[in-house]
Amino acid sequence: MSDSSQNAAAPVPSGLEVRHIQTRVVQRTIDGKTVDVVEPVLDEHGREIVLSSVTVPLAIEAEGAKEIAMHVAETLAYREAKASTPTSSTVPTADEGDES
Amino acid sequence: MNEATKLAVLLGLTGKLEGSYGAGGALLPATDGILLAELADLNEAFVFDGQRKAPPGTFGTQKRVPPLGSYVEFTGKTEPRGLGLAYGASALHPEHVLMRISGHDAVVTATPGAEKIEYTPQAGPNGFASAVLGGYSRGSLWNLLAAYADWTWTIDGPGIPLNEWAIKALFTSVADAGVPAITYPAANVDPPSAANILFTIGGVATLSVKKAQFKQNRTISQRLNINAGGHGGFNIGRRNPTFTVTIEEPATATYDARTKKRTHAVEALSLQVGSVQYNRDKFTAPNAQLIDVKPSAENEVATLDLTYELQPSTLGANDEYKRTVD
Repeated sequence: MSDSSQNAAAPVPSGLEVRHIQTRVVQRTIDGKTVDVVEPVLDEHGREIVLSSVTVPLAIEAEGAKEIAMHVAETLAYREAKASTPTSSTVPTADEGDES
Repeated sequence: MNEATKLAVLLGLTGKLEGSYGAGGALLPATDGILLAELADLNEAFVFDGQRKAPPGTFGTQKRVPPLGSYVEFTGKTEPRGLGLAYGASALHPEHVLMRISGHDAVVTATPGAEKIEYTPQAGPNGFASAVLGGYSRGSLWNLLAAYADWTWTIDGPGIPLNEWAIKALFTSVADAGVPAITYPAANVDPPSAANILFTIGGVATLSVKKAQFKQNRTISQRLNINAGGHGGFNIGRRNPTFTVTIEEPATATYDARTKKRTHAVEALSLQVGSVQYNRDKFTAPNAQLIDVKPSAENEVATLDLTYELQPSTLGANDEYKRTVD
């Protein structure tokens, strides 16, 4: 069985992204009490500042939450290792294509 | 001795995303539960019902041939509620599968203290997520695959909002089965009620709101295929998201609905259900256009039924609306 849109040549996009954003702790007064609140840091356009982003393929998303978390952790670990060893001869994996 | 009773009041639903459209998958009651709010009656339908032409020479009929191209349509209803704990890569919203098969991208922010999931319309035309479903209804288990959904939510006065998922799926099989012990995510999290929903339209936050409804209006059409079984699954077409709200008729100085309709003014719209972290549900539409104003009444009070079309920010953008759970 095929999705109707397979007659289009474009690659199948994934619809799940897991990201980390820049945050800061600010003090707010709620119900008369001063509490620490975590809030996103925004850029000059009012957008959140994304520190890392991993796009999860649909095939992995379909396997379940544990597999999603594992994929995200492995992708971030791979990127970190790659960034710290720029001359590494590690063979790139499919995960390398994820945008950050 | 009578046969064992099949009960019409017991139901259950399990579901998970398919790796590719129609790929199916194994469902586990321990991990794939979807908590329904109302009984969903499932019934098989056919593209070709087997009926033959009227016979010649008689006013009677002819025997039918077997039907072809079976599918199932049903509406699943859920009470929107949060996960009750921090969202993350392995902690998704209880309605995540339903949001994904109704054509939404999901962005999970896993940063501690700022955890949330944002759902926005998916660009398409390919890559729409589908699901394999197991529907327990009336003493039977319906096995379905290649399921897509069209999303509607309703807030009808103070009370718990309701999400409706008009699902179209391919029929695989049905067999006698009782409802198993299904583990539902966040089963003990109470859904937030609709009170203090912070409804704001065009910067006006003081309107008296009676009820509200969002309709995704997603086209899900059948793909006939007489080269393989008669039914080739479903095709996703256009969406036309609309938002309807009933308010007490305000002073024109506060909100001049008729002028806004006359000018098709574009306004930002937002509301929120719930105030407790990880059990908040926010809906925003940055470019709502008022297209219809109908006078109505609640007892003696003049009210207005306002219908908005939710537009993208620019041609081709997929930002007509956003659901944020945090």
